[in-house]
Amino acid sequence: MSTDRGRIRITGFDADRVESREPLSDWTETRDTGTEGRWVRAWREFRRNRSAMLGLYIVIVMSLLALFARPITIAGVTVQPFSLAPYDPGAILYAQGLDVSAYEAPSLAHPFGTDGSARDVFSRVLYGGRFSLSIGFIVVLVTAAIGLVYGAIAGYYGGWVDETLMRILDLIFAFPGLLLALIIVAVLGKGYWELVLAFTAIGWAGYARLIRGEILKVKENEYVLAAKALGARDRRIIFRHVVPNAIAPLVVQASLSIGTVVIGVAALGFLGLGLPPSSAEWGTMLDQTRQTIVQGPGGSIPWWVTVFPGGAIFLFVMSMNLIGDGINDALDAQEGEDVARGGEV
Amino acid sequence: MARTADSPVLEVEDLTKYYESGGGLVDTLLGRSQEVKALDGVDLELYPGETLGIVGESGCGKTTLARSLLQLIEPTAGTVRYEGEDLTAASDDRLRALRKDIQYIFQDPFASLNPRLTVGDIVGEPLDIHDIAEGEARAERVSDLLETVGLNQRHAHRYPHEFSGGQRQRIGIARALAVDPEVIVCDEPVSALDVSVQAQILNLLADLQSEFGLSYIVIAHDLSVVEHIADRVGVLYLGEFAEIGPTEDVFQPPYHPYAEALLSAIPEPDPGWEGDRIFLSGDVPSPLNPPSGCRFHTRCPKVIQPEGTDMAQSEWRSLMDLTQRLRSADSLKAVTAVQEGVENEDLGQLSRSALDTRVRAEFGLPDPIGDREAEEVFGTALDHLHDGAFEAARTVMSDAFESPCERTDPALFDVGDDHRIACLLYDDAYPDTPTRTG
Repeated sequence: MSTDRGRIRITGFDADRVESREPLSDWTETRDTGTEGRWVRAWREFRRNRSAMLGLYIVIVMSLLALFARPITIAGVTVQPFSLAPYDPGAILYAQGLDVSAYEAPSLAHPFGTDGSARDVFSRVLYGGRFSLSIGFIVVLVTAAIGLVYGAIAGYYGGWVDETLMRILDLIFAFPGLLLALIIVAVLGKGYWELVLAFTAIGWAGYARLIRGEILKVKENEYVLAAKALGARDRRIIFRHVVPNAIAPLVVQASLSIGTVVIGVAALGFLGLGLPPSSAEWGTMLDQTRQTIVQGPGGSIPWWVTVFPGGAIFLFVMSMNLIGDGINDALDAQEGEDVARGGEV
Repeated sequence: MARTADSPVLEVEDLTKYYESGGGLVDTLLGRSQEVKALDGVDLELYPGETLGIVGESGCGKTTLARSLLQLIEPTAGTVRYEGEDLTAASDDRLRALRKDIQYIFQDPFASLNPRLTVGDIVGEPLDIHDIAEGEARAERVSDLLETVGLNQRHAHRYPHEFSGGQRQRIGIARALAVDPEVIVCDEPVSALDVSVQAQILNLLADLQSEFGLSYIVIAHDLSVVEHIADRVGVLYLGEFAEIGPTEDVFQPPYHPYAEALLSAIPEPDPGWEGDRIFLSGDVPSPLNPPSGCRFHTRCPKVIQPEGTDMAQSEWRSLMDLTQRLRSADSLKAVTAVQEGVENEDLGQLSRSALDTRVRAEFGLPDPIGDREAEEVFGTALDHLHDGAFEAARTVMSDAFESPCERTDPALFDVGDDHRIACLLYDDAYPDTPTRTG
C-alpha cells in the first residue's frame, strides 16, 4: 500500500494515442443519401395512414367540385370556364319555363331532387361547398396566424407582457364562442366577410394559448440561449428557433378546427344568422327547409332537401377530422420526444 | 502557457448575482421573497492566450458565473470589462456586436443544437447574424469550420440527431468559432461526454487555442480535466472564490482546506493506493442563507480555534458541529445518535447519562473531552438539554465555542506568486496556524 499518487498512469490524454485510436471508436458513414426534412418524413408517414388519405381524397374532391361547380369570373374575365352543376344554384327552375315543381323527388334530371322553391338541390350542394370550405380554410389560416404571433410574443417575453396578453385572452374565453360569433353577426349584419370576421374573432384565442404553452416549454432549451449568445435578435430567435419547435400541435389543432368552423358556419346558417336566406350555403339550406322534416306537403317528407346538404357537412367535417388525426400521428405531436427531432428517417 | 505581461483581455470585478426565490407578486409586496446568493462578489482576470479553469461542486455558482460573464443573465452587481469596455453597461446593439469576440460553449451538446436546423445552418447562423458571409462564401466558411473541428464538410446537410455526443460538441465548437472570437467561455464542455471522447474534445480545444490564440474560461467539476487544460485555476465555494492561482500551485500545498478536500477526492486508479481522503462533515449550506464569516467554516476540518483554546482539532470540529446543529434544531432528535431498531422513542425520558452518551456518539466526542474547560461547558449545555431548555444550551455553546472563522470573512491572501487563498489560516493576524505548509 502506498499513499503516493500516480504510480499507475492513465495515458488516454496523450494526444497522439487518441488521434491514432480515433478511427476505431469513430462513427462511420453508413449511408450516403441525403437526409429528409421532418415535413417530408411526416408526409410519408401520413400517406401510409389509409383513413387520413381517404379524408384527404374526399376533401380534395369536394374542393374541386365546389371550384368547378360554376364558372368563375373575375373583373369580366372568365378564369374558370367549367360548370359541373347543371343549373344556376339560385335559379328558380319553373320561373325559367322548365317543367319542374317544388319538392320534386330525386330523378335523373335532378339527382338530389328540388327544394321548396324548385331549385336544383344537386347544383346548390355542389356550389354551397364554396362558402363552407372557403370560410373554413380562410378562418383557420387567419386565426392560426394571429394566434401564433400573439402566443409567441406572450410566451417568449413572459413577465408583464405575458400577463397583459393572457388577461385579454381570458376576456375572449369568458364568452361562449358561438354566442359571441352570433352577436358579432347580429351587429355587423349577414354576409360572407362578416362571418369570417365573427369566427376569426373567437377562434384565434385557442391557438394563442396553445402556442404560448408550447413556447414556454421550448424557450427553456439551451439552443435558444445559444442563439442569444451568438447575438441573434429576438425576432430571429422566436421565428427560427422557438416557433419551428413549437408548431406541430398548432398544425394538428388547425386541421381539426377547420371542421369545427364549418359546423359553426352551418349552425349560424341554421339559426338564420349566416348568409342571406337564398344563398346556397349548406347550413342556410338546412334552415330554409327545416319545416319539411316535421311534415312535408301532402303528408310525405321530402328527405332529400335536408339529407344532401346535411350529408355534405358531415362528409366534409369527418374528412377533416380524419386528416387532422393523420397529421397528429404523422407529426407525433403528442409525443414530445419525436417532435423534438429533425429529419428523422 | 506562460502568463504574459499584457493587460487582461477580460476583467471581472465584484460580479454578483442574486436570484429571487419563491416570490410571487404577493410575496414580493409583503417583502417575503428571499434571495439566493448564487454569486457573491467574484473577481477574476483572463489574460490573452491563457486558460482559466473554474472548479467547484454542484450549486456553487459555476454556470451562473459563466452566463453572467456573457450577460446571458443579468448580474445583480459588478462589472465585466472586455478590453476595457464594460459589458454590463453596454447597449443592446453594442453587446450584440461584442458577442463576436466572446463566445460560449454549452455543457449539453444534445440540448444546445436546434434539432430543426441542419448542421450547416447551425454553424452558418452566426455568419448570418453578423453579416459575415453570404452565399458561396458562407458555404465555404461553413465547410472550413467543420474541417477545423474535425468533421466532414459533407455533414453540413445533416441534422444534429444523426451525430454522436462528441461530434455534436464539435459542432457547438464550430459554431462558437464562426465569429472568430477572442474569448470562449466553456461551461463544462466535456462533462456530458464519454470519458474516451472527453480527451478528444479537450485536445481539440487546446489545438484551437494555439491555432487561433484564443483565451478560455473552462468551467468544470472534474479536477483532472482542469489540471489537464488550465493554466490557472479558481476554486469556487458558495459563490465566492476560495482559492485562485496557477494550476500547479493550486494542486500543491499550501491549500485552501476546501481545495485540499476536493483534491483528496480525485480518484486514483491504483488499487494499492490508500490516500487519506478528507471527508467533509455536513451538507453544503443553502445559498439562501450562507454562513457568516468564512462560508466554509461549517464544514472546514481546519476551522480555527479561538485564542487561548488548545484542544485536539477533531474535538474542536465536533464541538463546532454540535453548536451549529443546536442553532438550527429544536428537538433532541437532531443532536442524538439514532439507535437502530428503535422508532418513535421519547427522547425527553432519557436519563442525563444516557443523553450524554447519545450526544457524544452522534458527534464523535470522547468522554471526557480532552480540554477540561470544554468538558465543563459541554456538561452545562447537556444539563440544559436534559431540562428541555434548548435556548439556554444554544447560548452556552455559542458563547464558549466561537471560531474567528465565523466572524471574519477572509479576503484572498497572497500566498505565492499570483496564488491567493481566501482562508484566515493564511492571514498574518493568526500567526500560530498549525498547517501553514499543509
